[in-house]
Parts: sequence; structure tokens; C-alpha cells
Amino acid sequence: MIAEETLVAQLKDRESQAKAFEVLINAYKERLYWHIRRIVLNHDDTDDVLQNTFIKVFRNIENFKGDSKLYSWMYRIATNEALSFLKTKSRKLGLSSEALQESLANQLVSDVYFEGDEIQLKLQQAIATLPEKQKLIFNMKYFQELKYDEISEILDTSVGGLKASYHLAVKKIQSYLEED
Amino acid sequence: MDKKYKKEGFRVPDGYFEGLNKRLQDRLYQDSFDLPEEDGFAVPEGYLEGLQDKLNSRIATGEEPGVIKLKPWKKYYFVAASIAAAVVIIIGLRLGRTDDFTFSDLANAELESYFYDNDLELTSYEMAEVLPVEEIEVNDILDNELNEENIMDYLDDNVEDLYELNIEYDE
Repeated sequence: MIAEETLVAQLKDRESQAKAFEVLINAYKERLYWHIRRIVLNHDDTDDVLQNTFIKVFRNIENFKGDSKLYSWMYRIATNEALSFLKTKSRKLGLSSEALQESLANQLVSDVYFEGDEIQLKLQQAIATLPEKQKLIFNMKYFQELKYDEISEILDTSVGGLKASYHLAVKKIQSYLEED
Repeated sequence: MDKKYKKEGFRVPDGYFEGLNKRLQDRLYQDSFDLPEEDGFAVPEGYLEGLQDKLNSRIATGEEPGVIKLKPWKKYYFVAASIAAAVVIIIGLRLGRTDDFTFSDLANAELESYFYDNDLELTSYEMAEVLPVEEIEVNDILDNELNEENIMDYLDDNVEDLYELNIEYDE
């Protein structure tokens, strides 16, 4: 795979940016899709957020200074896009963000693009009850199998704090599933 | 192994204590509970393959996602106000004067419903940037008018030493 610095340089150069953008999309589309999907839960919303994320990356690549890794920067943009998408959605529907989360998780039963069994559905309902940050950390650690160092850079949180949040999230999910 | 435990006849497997720390960490922080490894989500067939074309066409048309254009926001304000004004004039001409509502009531209602129905995607900070703050009084945004007496009562109840605020009294 092309080195990150080279890719960033190509993205900033008008001559090479179209080709480089193609490389960028191919390298990250799947990872970012799943990251966003686990936040907004349905496919159509994920598609909107994913496209907006890539376009923002493309438009703002000039501002990328290389202080963090490119993928962390993109994950941050994707996370912010997904979270603000949910805020807008809850405002439009007149729901609190907790109520929206619950409703989105419950809608999975009839979602044609959710093929999970009963336990997978319950797991999503349990995740929906977590506070926003714990939810992000749980998904990134458990499903995406990101390392704590990587999550730390994306969410700008200490590794110790992440471990504690993940531990708490796991406990809450366990007790949710046991209650049921 | 420590001699005092050996005396009691207990044994532990070789290397047990060396690996204990890692096993505990794993149990605390890793996926040590019985949950499905997959999340059950699916993607429409061919979606990821077609993404590139969708993005290219959006970039080619210069569409900017989530970029908040502050100036055009005013355009909607004027459009909504013009519509409201036109509606009032037409109703006024046809039905004559009515005591139920006034121009300003209708204009506000129209504007409020416009802003409610159309998501402008402005955060409170962005709102603050476009609103002419200099011309707004606190009472413009509060339902109940805030008078000096209320403010002084509030400060009296909540501030330890009122004199530290150096309030100037008009006397």
C-alpha cells in the first residue's frame, strides 16, 4: 500500500489528487462504512454520512497537517459526521438522543439489511443504552478490533480512560442481557 | 515457589503466576464474555463498488456536504417574510380586518414554522455568528421578562458577597 505521506502529498497536488482520492476511497471505504454503520445503524443513513465524510476529507485535505495519522483524522471526521447526523435526526423527530437510539435499535427487527439473530439484535439494543462515548469505544474495540492506542488517537482520550470505559460498557451490556 | 506453601503440600502448574497478570487483564478488558463476534449488519450488493462513482459525481458538481453557508440563510428569512406578507395582504383584502391575528404574529408564526420544518443545520455557535447580537436584548429571547429586581434577587440568593460584584446603583 502507498505510504501515507505520499498519499497526502498527492491528495494536495491538483495534478494527482483525483487518482489519489480513488486510492484513498478504496483503502478506507469499508472500514469507515462499518465505523459509521455501527453508530447510525441503518444503511441509507450510513451511505449519506460516509459520502459526506469522504467529501469533507477531500475538501479539507489542505488543512491536514500530519499531526496525527491520516486514518485517525478520517475516523474523527466520520465520527463527528455520524454524531451530528444523529443529533439532527433526533431534533427533526422531536426525540431525545436516548429515545432515538432506542428507536433505531428497535427498527433493526424490520431492517432488510440487518441479518442478525435474536442475540445479535439484543446486543444492539444493549449497546443503544450506553452513553455515547462508551458506545463508540465498545464498537471500536469489540467489533472493529482497533487497538487502544489507535482509539486513543481518534477519540483523544487516554488509554487508561478507554480501558475503564470499555470495561464499564461490557459490564452494562452483560447486565442488560442478564436482565432480559 | 515459596517454601511455606510447599510445606502445606499445595502445588501450582508451572508458570502459573507468570501468566496470571495477562490472564486477569484479558478477563477485565478483553472479550471474555459470551457474545456474538459478528454484529449482523449487511450491505446492499455492489454498494461499496459503486461508491467511487457517486463520490466522483458529487465532487464534479461541486456539492459541499454539511458546509454551512451563512449568507444564504438570510435569503430564506426574506423569502419567508415575503410569503408571510403576501399572505396577510391577500387575506386582508379578501376578508377585511380580523382581530384574531396581526401581521407580526403571522410573520413570526410563518418564520418559526419555516425554521422548524427546514433543518438549517446550524449549531448554536453558528447561530450566534449570524445573529446581530448587539441589537438583541436579554428580554428578546426570554418568555418572561427579566427585570432588575429579579436579577438582584437571583444574585442575592446565589452570590456569596454581592459587594464583590461592584454593582453600580443609579440613585
